[in-house]
Amino acid sequence: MAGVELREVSRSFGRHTVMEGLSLAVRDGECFTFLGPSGCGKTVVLRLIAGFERLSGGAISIGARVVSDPARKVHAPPERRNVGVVFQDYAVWPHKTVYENVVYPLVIRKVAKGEAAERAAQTIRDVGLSGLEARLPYQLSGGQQQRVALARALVSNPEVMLLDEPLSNLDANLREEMRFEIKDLQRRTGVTILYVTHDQEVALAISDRMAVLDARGRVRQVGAPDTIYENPRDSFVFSFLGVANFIPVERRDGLDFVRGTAVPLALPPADGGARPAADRLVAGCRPTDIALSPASSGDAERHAAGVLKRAVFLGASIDCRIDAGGTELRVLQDVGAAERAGLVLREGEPVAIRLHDVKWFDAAALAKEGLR
Amino acid sequence: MTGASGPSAPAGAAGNGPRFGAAEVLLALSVVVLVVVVAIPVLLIFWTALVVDGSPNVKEVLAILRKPDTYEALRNSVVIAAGVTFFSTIIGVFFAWLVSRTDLPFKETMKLLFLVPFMLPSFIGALAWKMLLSPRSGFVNKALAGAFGLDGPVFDIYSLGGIIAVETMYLFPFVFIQVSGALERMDPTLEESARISGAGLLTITRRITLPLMLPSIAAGALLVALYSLSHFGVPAILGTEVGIYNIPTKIYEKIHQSGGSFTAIRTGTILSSILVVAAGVILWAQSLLLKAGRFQVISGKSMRPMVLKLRGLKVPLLILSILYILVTVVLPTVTIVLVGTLKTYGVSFTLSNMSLDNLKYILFDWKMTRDAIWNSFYLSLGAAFVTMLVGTLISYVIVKMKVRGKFLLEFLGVLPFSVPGTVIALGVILMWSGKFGVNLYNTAWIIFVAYVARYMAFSLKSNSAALEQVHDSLEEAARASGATHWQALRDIVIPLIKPGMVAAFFLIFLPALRELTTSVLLYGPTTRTIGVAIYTLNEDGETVYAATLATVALAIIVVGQVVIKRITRTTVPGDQA
Repeated sequence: MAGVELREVSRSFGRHTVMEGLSLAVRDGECFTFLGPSGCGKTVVLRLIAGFERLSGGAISIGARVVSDPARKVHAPPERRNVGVVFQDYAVWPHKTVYENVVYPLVIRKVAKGEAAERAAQTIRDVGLSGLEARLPYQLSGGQQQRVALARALVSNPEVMLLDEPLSNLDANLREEMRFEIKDLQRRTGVTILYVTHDQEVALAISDRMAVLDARGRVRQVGAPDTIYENPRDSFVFSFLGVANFIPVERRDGLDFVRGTAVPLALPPADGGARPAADRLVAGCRPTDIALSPASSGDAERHAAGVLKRAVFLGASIDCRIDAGGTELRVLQDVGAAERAGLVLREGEPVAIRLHDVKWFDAAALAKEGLR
Repeated sequence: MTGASGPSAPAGAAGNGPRFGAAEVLLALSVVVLVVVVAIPVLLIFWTALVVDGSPNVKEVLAILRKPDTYEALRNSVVIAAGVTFFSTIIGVFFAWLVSRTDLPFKETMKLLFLVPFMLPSFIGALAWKMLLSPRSGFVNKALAGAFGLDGPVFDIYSLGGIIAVETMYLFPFVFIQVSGALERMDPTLEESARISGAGLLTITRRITLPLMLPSIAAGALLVALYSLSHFGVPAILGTEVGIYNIPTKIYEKIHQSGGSFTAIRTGTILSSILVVAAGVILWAQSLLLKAGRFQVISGKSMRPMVLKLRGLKVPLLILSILYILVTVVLPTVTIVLVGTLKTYGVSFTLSNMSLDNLKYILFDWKMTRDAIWNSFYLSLGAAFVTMLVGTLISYVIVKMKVRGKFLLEFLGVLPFSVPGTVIALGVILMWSGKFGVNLYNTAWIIFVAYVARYMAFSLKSNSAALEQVHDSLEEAARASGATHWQALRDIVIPLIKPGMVAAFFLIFLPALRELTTSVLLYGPTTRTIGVAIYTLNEDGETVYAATLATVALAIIVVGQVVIKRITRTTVPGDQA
C-alpha cells in the first residue's frame, strides 16, 4: 500500500488549461474523494495518476516512487504503476467471461496458473459474484458488471485504487449498496482509494478525507467530510455540499433584516463562527436548519415573516418554498414532527421563519462565485 | 518530394516522450504506408500534369484540353454522368418509395432483389447487353426484326444512350439504398401532423416527404455521378467500338496505343487531375448534404412509417417491379451463361450447339484464362489481407491515438475515396516504373500495389467503424491491469474488432476479384486478371469464351456473397469494376 502525492500538477490541452498547480497528499490506506462539478478536471487528475495522460508540469509519486515528472522526463506507463482502475462505464471486456476478466491482470503479470486461479476465485467471492464466473458481461446487470470491474482492479493487490464515478450509472438503491461495499472492501484490504465524483452524498458517505474542487479545477477545501460539511471554508463549498439558502442580511439599529425590506430575521446567537466584519453579509443555511410556524401563532413579530409559495409532499418530508421579502428559501419539514406539532401549513399561508444555524458569507465573494 | 524524408518527420514530432514505444511505431508505419501507397502516386499525377521541365505550364494543359478528342472525351463523360444520374435518381427514388412506403406485396424480398444489380460487375452486364442489343447481331434486335419484318435494328446499344441505359441499371441502387434507408428512419410524426392539419396525401408527399428526403436523394445521386464520371467498363465495351470515349477509356486508349509514351501519360495525367478534382468536389458536396439530412429528419430509432394503400395498382406495380428485375438482372445473366456454352458465337441455342466444353477449356486447358483466374485469385487474396491489416493499423491511429500529426493521416485516409481506379493505375505507373528506383512494371506486384491503394478506403471505413465501437476505457483497463500497449492491442482491441476486420477483408477481396478499371492499365503478358481476360477476349472477338469466363466470375461472386452473408450478416456494397 502507498500514499499518493501530487506536487504542483498542471495539465493543459493545447492552449486550454484544465489543471494548474494542484498539490495534494493522499495518505496511505485512506479513502480520498475528489468532489467537484462536472468538467472541473477531476477525472483528469485520476487519469494523470493512472498514467493515461501526461503531465504538463509538476510531479506525481505513488509511495516512494516518482511516476510522473515531465521536468525530469519521467513518465511510467500505466502498466508499471501498480494501480487498479474502475471506470464509470465499467469497461468490462465484452469478449471475456467474468473469470477471464478478473484473472487477466494476473495472467499478464505471469502469476503461476494455480495461484492465479485461486486469487481470481477469491476476489470474485469477495465482490459477491460466486457462481457467475462463466457468464459473459452481456448476461450481467449493471451492478454485477461494476463488481467485475472492481474485482479486476483489486485482484493484483494494487497499491492504489482509482475509481472514476463508478456508481453514477447504477440506480439509486444499487448505488447505496455498492457504496457500502466499496467502503467495506477498503477496510478489509487496506488499499488506498482515490475516488472521483460529482455526487456530494457519495463523497460524504465514503471518504476518510475529501477535496472539493471548483469548476476551474482549484482545490477549495480539503478535510474530513464532517469537518467540511460543518465548517465550509467558503460559499462555494457550502453550496456544493447540499441545497443552500442564501439570505442577504442588513443590520439596522442592532436588528437584522432581510436586506432592503422590513422583514426581521431572528438569528441564532453567534453560531457558525463569529460574524465577519464585512458590511454586506449573507447568511447561509440548509433547508433543515429552518423552522416554520404559522404566522398566527403569536410570536410572528419576533421572526422573519414569509409566505408559503409551494409545498411538495415527498413522503418523509415536505419540501417548502418560502418567499421571504423577495428571497426564496427552501425548507425541508419533517412530516412526522410537523404533524405532531400541528404545523401542517397550506400553500399561500403566511409563515414565521426561525433560523437554527447560519454560516456567514461576504456578499461580494458570493457574487464572484456567481451564486447570487 | 523525395518520399523518404516526408513520412518520418511527423513521427518524430509525435513522440513527446523519450522512449520509442508502440504509439510512435504505429504512427510512423501508417504515415509511411499512406504516403507511399496513396499520397505520392496522386501527387505525381498532378505534378506530371502541371509541371513541365520544373516549372508550371498551364498553356500546354489548355492546349491538350482543346484537342478535339480529349475535349470530346470530357464532354462524353459529363453527358453520360448526367444521364445516368438523372435516370438512376428517378428509378431509385421510385422503387425506394415503392418498397418502403406502400403495401406492395413481397416488399422485403423485392428490396433485396433491387440490391442484386449492385453485386454484378457492370462490364459483364455491358457484355450481355451487347449480345442482346448490338445493331447487327443482337438477339433482341434479330427477334424483333424477324417478328415485325423490319429492315434496320430497333435498338443500337453502341451509343451514348446505350451506355447511359446499361450504367443506370447497375448504379441506381446507390440512390435506392440512400432513399429507402432515409424513408424508413424518417419520423412519421412529421407526416402525421401534416395529415392532422388536413393535408391530403399528395400535398404531404410534395410539401413534407419530398423536401425532407431531398438530402438523401441528392447524396445518392452524387454517388452515382461520382462512379459514372470515372467509370471504365461499360463505355469500354459499348463505346470504343464506335469511337465513343469518356475520360477513363480515353486515358486507356492513349496509353495503350502509344505503348506508354510520355505525351500519352501526360494527357492521361491531365484528364486524371480533372477526375480527381471533380470527384473531390462531388464528395465534399455529398458530405455536406448528408450532414444537413441527418439534422432534419432522421431519428436513430426505426419507426413504423405511414403506408400508402395501392389498391388496384398493387398487382400492376408488382409486375412492373418483377419485370424490371427480370430485364436488368435475369436476362443478362442468362444470356451470358447460355452464350458461354455455345460452340461458336452466332449459332442458335439448341442443345446440340451447347456444351460444357468451353468451361473445361478455360478452366483447365487454356493457359491464358487459367493464369487469369489464378492471378486474380492470389492478387485479391493478398491485397485484401494486406490492406485489411494496414487499414486496421491506420484506423487505430486515426480513431484511438492522441498524437500530433494525426490530421495528416485523416486527410490521406479519405483521399482514396475520391481517387478513381484509372487515376490510381496511372499514379502507380508513375511511381513504380523505375523513376524512384523500383520497377514493377509488367509484374503482378504493380497490380498488387494498385489494389492496396484502391481499396484502402474500404478497409479504413470498415475498421474505423469497428474501432469506434470499442470504448477507450476497455483498452485503458487493460493497461491498468498491467498490459503493455502491444498486449492490450493483442488481447482486447483486436479480438473486439475482428468482425470489422473480416468485413474489410471481404469488402476488398470480392471487388478485387473482378476488378477491371485498374488492372486493364497495368497488366502485362503474364499478369492478366479475370476482368482483363474477359475484356480482352471480347476485344479479340472471342465472345463465347468471354461469356464463359464471365460465367465463372459470376459464379465466384455469388458464392462469395453467400459466404459473406454467413460471416458478417451484412450486405456488401459492390464496387464498380
